[in-house]
Amino acid sequence: MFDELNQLDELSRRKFMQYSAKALLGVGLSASTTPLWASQTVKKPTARNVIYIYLSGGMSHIDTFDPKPDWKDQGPVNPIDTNVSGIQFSEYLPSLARRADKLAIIRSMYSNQGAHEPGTYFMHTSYVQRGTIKHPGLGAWLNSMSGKTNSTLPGNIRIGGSNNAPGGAGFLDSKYEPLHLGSPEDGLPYVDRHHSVDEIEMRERLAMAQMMDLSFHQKYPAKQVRAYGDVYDEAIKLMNSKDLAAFDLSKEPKLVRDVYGDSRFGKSCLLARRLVEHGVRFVELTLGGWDTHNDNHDNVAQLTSPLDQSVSALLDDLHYRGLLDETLVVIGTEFGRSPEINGNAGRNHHPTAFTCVLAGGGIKGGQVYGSTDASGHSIAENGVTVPDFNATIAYALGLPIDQVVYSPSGRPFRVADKGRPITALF
Amino acid sequence: MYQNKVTFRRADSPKTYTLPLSQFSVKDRAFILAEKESGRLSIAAYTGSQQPKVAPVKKVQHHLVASQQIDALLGKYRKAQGSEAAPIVDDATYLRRAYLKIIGRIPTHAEAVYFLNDSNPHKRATLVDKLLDSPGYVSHNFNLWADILRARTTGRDGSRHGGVYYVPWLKDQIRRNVPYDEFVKTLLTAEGYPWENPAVAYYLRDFGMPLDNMSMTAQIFLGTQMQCAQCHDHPTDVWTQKDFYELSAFTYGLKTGVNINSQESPELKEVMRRLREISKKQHGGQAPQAQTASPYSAGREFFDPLRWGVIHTKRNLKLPHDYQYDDAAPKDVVAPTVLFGNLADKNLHDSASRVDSYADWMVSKNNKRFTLVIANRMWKHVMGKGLIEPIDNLTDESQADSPELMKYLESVMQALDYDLKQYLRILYNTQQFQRAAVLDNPDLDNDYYLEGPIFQRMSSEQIWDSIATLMVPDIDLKLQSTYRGNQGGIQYESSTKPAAAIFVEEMNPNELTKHIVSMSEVYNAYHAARSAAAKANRDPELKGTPELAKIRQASNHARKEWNKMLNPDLNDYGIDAQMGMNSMMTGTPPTTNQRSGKKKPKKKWFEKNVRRASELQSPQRNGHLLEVFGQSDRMLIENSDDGGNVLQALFLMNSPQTNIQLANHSAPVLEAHLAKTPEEKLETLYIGFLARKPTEAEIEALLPAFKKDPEKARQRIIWAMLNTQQFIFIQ
Repeated sequence: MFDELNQLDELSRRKFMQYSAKALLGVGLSASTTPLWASQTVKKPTARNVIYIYLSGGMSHIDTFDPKPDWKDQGPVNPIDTNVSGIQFSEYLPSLARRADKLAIIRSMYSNQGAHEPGTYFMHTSYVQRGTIKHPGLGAWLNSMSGKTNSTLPGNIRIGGSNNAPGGAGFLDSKYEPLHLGSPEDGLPYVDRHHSVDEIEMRERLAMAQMMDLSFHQKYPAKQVRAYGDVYDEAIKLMNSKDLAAFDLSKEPKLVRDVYGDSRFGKSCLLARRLVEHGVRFVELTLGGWDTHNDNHDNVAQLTSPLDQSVSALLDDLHYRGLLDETLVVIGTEFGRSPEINGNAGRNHHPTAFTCVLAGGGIKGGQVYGSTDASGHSIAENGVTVPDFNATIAYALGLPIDQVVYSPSGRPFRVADKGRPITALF
Repeated sequence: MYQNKVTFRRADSPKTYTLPLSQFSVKDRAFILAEKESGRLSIAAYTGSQQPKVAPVKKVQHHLVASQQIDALLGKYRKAQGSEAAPIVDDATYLRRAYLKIIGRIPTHAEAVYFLNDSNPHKRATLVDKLLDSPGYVSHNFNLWADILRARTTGRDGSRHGGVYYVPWLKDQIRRNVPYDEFVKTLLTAEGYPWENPAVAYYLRDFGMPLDNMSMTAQIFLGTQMQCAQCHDHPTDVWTQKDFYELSAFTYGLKTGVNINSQESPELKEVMRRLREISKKQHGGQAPQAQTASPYSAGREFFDPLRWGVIHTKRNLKLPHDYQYDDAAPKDVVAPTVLFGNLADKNLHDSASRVDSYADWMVSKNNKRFTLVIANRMWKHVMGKGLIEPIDNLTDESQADSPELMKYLESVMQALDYDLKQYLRILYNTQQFQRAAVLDNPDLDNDYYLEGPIFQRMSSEQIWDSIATLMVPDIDLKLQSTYRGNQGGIQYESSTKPAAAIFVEEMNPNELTKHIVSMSEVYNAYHAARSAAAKANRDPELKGTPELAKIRQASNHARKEWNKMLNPDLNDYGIDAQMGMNSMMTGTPPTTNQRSGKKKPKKKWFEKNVRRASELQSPQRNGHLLEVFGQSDRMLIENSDDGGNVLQALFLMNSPQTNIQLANHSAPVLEAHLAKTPEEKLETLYIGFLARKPTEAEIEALLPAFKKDPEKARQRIIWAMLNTQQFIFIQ
């Protein structure tokens, strides 16, 4: 049933079988899955990788991608034309405006989760947060359902953001938990051999540990123990991997680093491109601070600066390296902000209408999907729920959207719950 | 670093002498260490620190009859299943297991030597009692309960929601071995503010989500997962949505969150009213907005701690607007009704009495579920797997592996009046606990027949604590009693009331109003500086200029000044800061919630203030070793993980800790320096790291290199031991 996926280039067939077998074993997949899934959801995937840019706090939609120049509370920001006739952005996004031909702007997002934690959770998992189960994020789903392309780097990496961010492995095997890098500049911790140890000594030591464990392994041939053996193998492969260079930003020429910008977010975008180049399939970046209850315009102007510069650089870079067609770039946020300005020159949470953006990975650029009313309050047409949005990403990746997967506690879940992909975007 | 000195005095003179341990003969050294191990030499008194007392377990002989009965019932079960009991383990295996399972860390070299050389035929039972009475017991069991109760000292849960008070309180409950039913009742009937009643953190943990909190209660104490029933009839169990709401109705009157503008906080209502008037006057008759600078908003910031408490209200629970079943209508008021059994006290006229009745019902001996769940949970704590699994998702169909044994355990728990420590003592004294660990394949359903305890990996905390044991002597005594958190500029600290609370007690509304108004200047300056900084930050002309830096600095300074106002020095106001709370200072600096650069904590790992996991922030930040090895994030109940990942392997292989510090400065290494022969040195290392002597084969393989180049061989051997799987698994 994963024949379509088998046709992907560069997927090590053996690795793929290994991973999908492991994924299926732990998962309640019955051979008699309803034929529904065959109908429209699995097609030849257009995207192999995802770079997910998460704007945490709730990005104000009418001050960025969905300007409302005739609305009384638009505030001190003007719309500008983009390089696609008929589409305008706010003046805070000049560089992205010049690349609107690559973007699909979904202006009709809506949800009923108006608080940060539940909203972020919903955005990352397509499920409403419950105290009793953790749902997997798209990176974990992707890796569990169709494996990694590269055998030495982790297939799911998160840069920045908080410790308890949702959208990790959830109830899937913990090996799908994203590798979390606190900062784009630090790289993987302890990935180099200790300076006092050369390769020969390292081998001696590993052999000695094996020797000490001989009778232990015989006495306790447990799955968990063997799993540690695998983990060590993976770690050593990683240590010796040439792909580790992906984490070293100094390998980029200064010119490129300048184009992405000096900010932490800029560096994260650059790192994300390098990781994707080296075969990492899902990279999530976080840019925070969008919760502009006070001084909305001052703050949004400040926040859009790295967003505009670095995402433009990323799109250009991916495009010129020929990676944009297979890399889906996502800009997501948990909700929008109120069209009304509050007493602190700020905007409050607004989940009833907001904007998210998709680019690359088979998405048709230069289009706007859906629209809001004249003030940006509510959806005018083609509303897109959060599960629909995630289903679209899953669709691009060729994941089986209708397949029911059971958690260890026996509850049924899907990659994007009941979301339907927006095929018009492709 | 290692305390290799002994201070002693002659019986007839107060003068003390201090000599390095190495000056004593080997025999005397062994004697001193043995005295220390058996508790006759008091180290705590020597260092001058005051340790809180751990309630000792009653060393009653006849309770051990219960241990024998448990073994008998297990034997009966195994016979019926045709399975064989696993053999009793040798001393070395027992030693490591007992330390890890009872107090959560490996034994020190001295502890191991003492036990292995002890000829007392009852030494295992003696060890159990000793460990149960030690501070390590508190540390280890705290981790268990913090995971279950999702107790956090970080973020909002740590500060506003009372975590910094809750965590020390939890440890204290465990330390004093408060009976379990009493403990649960305290949690469920808690009200007030966390600094006066730390147990309210139980409710504040799910601030604004009373129904979710009720789900947690049902899960933890009744072993029932009802969260499905919050929105619809439970698909696989007997609970209906109405059942869920009827149970929730008992505690729905409890509200997390105090409205300081209302009668819920009479003292502050008046103050806020006055501040609002003053603000109105200042703003030309306009009502003050929430976040523009005004005496009103200053007051809101200053009195913020008083908004986070648990109070009784008159509100009633109604069914949701989309209730779809026939037995009631949407938005009907729900009458509190228990899931099963009867209420002892039918007095339900107000919120307080409802909560009381509910708590009584919950912990009553007639509530069979309550006893079953805790008996099963503690069995799992000891043996690695509950007699019924999962332990908190029981249904009517759930059956224990051995129903007879389960019933017996329930009767023991009741007979002990929920004395958890004694219950554990009984379990630790069974033959079962001494049997070889058995593999239990998670993918297969029926391959375990209670042949012995379950083979499992150390928890993240056990790994961390074991490494800490290797580096720091007397690690159990390095306690943290004070946590700090910060929210909205307000400092929260264990055993300390927030300034706002003290002010409200000491001053009348007039004085309080005056005090807030007196802070206006600083407050307004702070607001202005903040706005100026925001404006300057977006000005492209100022980017990277020293002027911008100056403006930012001014904003930071103004923030600091305002923070000083939020956290005043009480002595300046003639208020006695002593609270009468027992603040046990142990000389270690308080754990703060402040963000420090990620690099810093890693460098300081094994300096003198390394502590056990229970004495650190709960939970640890991303990147910390505890998190890498799978510590629960305490966002979900018992959310820890014991799987492997690449970051763990990278740390164990390449960190300076495993390559340098543990190889050169750990306690077993320092002990090994004192040993005379290479054979003794090797043995010392093995006992220190793996709690056993090397096998013949190992000696043969390792000794030659050890003799040739002891330094290099030692580093290699220690590295190898830390990178074996036997180090991180519990046999």
